[in-house]
Amino acid sequence: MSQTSEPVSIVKGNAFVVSDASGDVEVSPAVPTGFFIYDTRFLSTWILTINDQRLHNLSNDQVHYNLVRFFVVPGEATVYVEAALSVVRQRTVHGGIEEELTVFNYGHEPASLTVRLRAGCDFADIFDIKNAQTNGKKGSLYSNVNDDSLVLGYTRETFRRETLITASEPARFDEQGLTFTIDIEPHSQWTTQIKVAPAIIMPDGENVIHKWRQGYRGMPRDLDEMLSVAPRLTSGWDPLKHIYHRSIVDLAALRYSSESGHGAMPAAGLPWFMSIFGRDSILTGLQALPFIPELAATTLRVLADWQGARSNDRRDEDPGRMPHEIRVGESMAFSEQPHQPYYGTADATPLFVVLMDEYERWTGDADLVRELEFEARAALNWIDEYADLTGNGYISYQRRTEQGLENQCWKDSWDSLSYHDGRLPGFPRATCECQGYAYDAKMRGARLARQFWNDPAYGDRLEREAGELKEKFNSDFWIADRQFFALALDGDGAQVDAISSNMGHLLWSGIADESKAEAVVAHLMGPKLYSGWGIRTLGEDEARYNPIGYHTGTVWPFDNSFIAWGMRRYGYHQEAAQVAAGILDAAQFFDGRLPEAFGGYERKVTSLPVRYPTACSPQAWSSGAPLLFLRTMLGLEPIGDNLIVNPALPSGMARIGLLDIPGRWGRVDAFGRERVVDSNEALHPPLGEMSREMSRTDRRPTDNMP
Amino acid sequence: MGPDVVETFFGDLARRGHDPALRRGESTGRFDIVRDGEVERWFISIKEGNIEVSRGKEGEPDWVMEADRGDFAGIVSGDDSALAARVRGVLRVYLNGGSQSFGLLTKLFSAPSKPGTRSRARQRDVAE
Repeated sequence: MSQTSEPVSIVKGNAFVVSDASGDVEVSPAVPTGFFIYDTRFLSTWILTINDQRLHNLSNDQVHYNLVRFFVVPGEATVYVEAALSVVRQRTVHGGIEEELTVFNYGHEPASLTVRLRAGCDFADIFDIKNAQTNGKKGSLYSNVNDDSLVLGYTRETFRRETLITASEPARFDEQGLTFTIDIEPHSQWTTQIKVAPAIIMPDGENVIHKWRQGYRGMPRDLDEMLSVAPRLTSGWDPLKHIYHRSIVDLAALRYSSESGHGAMPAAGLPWFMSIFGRDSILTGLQALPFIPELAATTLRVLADWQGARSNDRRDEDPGRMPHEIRVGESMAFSEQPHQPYYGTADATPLFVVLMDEYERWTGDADLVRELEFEARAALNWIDEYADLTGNGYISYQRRTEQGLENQCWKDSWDSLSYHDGRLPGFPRATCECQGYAYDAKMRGARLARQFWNDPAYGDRLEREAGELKEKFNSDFWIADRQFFALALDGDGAQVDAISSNMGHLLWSGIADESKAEAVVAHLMGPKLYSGWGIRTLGEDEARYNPIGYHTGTVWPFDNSFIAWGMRRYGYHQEAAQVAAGILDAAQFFDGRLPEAFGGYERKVTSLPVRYPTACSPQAWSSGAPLLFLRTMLGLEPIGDNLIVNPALPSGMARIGLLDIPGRWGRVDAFGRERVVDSNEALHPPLGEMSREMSRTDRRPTDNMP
Repeated sequence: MGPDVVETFFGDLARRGHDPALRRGESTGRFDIVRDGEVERWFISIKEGNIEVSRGKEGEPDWVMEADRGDFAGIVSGDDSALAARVRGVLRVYLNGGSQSFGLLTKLFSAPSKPGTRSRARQRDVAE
């Protein structure tokens, strides 16, 4: 009813609350409002009234990623007259919700009030909401009203979940909520603490949620602690500090800890992907290495724990294959979803080896490389023995379960791969970037084999295979008359000829021939792919191009961060700086928090990056993107026990200082000053200055653009 | 179905001997298999990837997994997922101290692939 403004989210690991601006939650079939944990909604209705009146929002204060204060007053916004009553709802989420409700009476008369919280829960599985399934729950809902609590419950066979609601002040509980009858003297206040505690109930009645969450105990609780160990940033371009801070805070918020005590790894993104995702965790771990290296270590260990051990068609599992997605909700428990775990990813397995090598290069943690030798070898073995579905030497994919993903590359929506004319290719599909990852995994695996596994012969073999793969790839995937790499090979081994951002990943993996890099970079920065804000997922003249198509035209910040890194690898410093500048400029329009994706519209046309409707935010690898851009702009590269700094900053950045970068060298500082890297894309001045400038000159901001 | 699957599983586990995938899962554990109110106990020791299976050991293990025999048979045959069974509440898992990883322990249910196992495509090629 009163959801006129943006929803408000707070998050901690895999627990999150999405409400309207006044703090209320109303069930919505398609929008994930409510309190969620472990892929289940534990609260779907939470509406505050005073004397039967709803409250409306004056302002919110998001104090912390898991703490928000709502300042609300009774009555609708349109009829608001200086009320004597006002309310502060302070809400914290961790394993449950704690809500402190304070009612102020600033009137001259005592106030007799009925304060009510309407509560309800549908125990929806996150996939019920995502897929807008309205066919109802298969189990049954129940509620138990006690003198001092309300229990909302759901049971289906042996699966049982409950929500326990209690309050610190006397309340009357009924099946639909709790009511306080209170009197407040003039210029006085009344406060109560309300707790909403989720429970995972075993058939013998034991609530095991605390055991599931025991991994969080070892996690640094304090954000300040995390911020204090991350490198400090100085910059001549003010917005960068805010973007950087926001990235670290969001990665702290998304820290997900399993019960194993391995530490924290990032959950993929709010609201749809608050779980372990192989690819997302690995790529975020790579982005964050110079800043929060422990995310990579945890990711490696957790994925190793769940590495595929046998072939199982229902889960697209094979020995050595890394999991794509692990869920713990009802739909997975009853095999209505395959995430038990689900292994349908073509890239997480080679990327596991890439992350392991890069992690050691930064941290010098040889113990972990030795500890995970078996798992790394199994991953490398998977590339040759299980991933090559057509026998042509390339990683390809084809799901073995109807529940699985048709596309098992990072662009995993059904229509993400197409020919220039819009037709969809047949299976198995071999996307170009996966071959790059395979090449990189073998090259890096060769180093690990020689240096840590005492197996130089294996190292030689991997390097030889990588060389052969590179040679063959540059012939089979190269579209000579158009001078770019095919998006994929189809089931018949023919080229899928749409122009896409995928080939940008061939640069960071190093599989592209030096001689082809110039043409690749020219395409990536050309008008078909480069919007002015970033590189589009699909070229503008492709039949399936749509600037707000999920993988068919939007700009993905994480994608751009890896492409820019690759451009640096091949010596295209100016272009890398230009890509960084475009995305960092865009970040300003999202208050420093880059979403999963934004529209691929031409910058000169829209003058601001257009929001993608259902983008996740925060999303781990979008939060990680500014971190990788920092690494790229500063040209940070670990060589032996030293950190090489070779900055190339975009115009407008002036300078960047990154202090206390952790690594095998201890801690070092890196500084960059703007050199004559004359990027075409100058950074915008900070938004505030830009608007001042606009008001002075009445110029559109795009007029600043070359 | 029934008794054979479970006993075969523990027999195979004992014969597995060494499993490098379990090298990181050094621990002692116990499976409690329940049938008609009776509990069968199987003790597991994992050390440097070597697995030992025995009956009737004493002592407090690092982990315990408990299931009805029918449910357990579903898990070891691969029809059910151990994780799904746990989330449904039919596989009860007790991990002492938080140093054990359930993900790693699920590898007990999966014999490692034999060396030289080839992909489907390659098997197809050979067959053709």
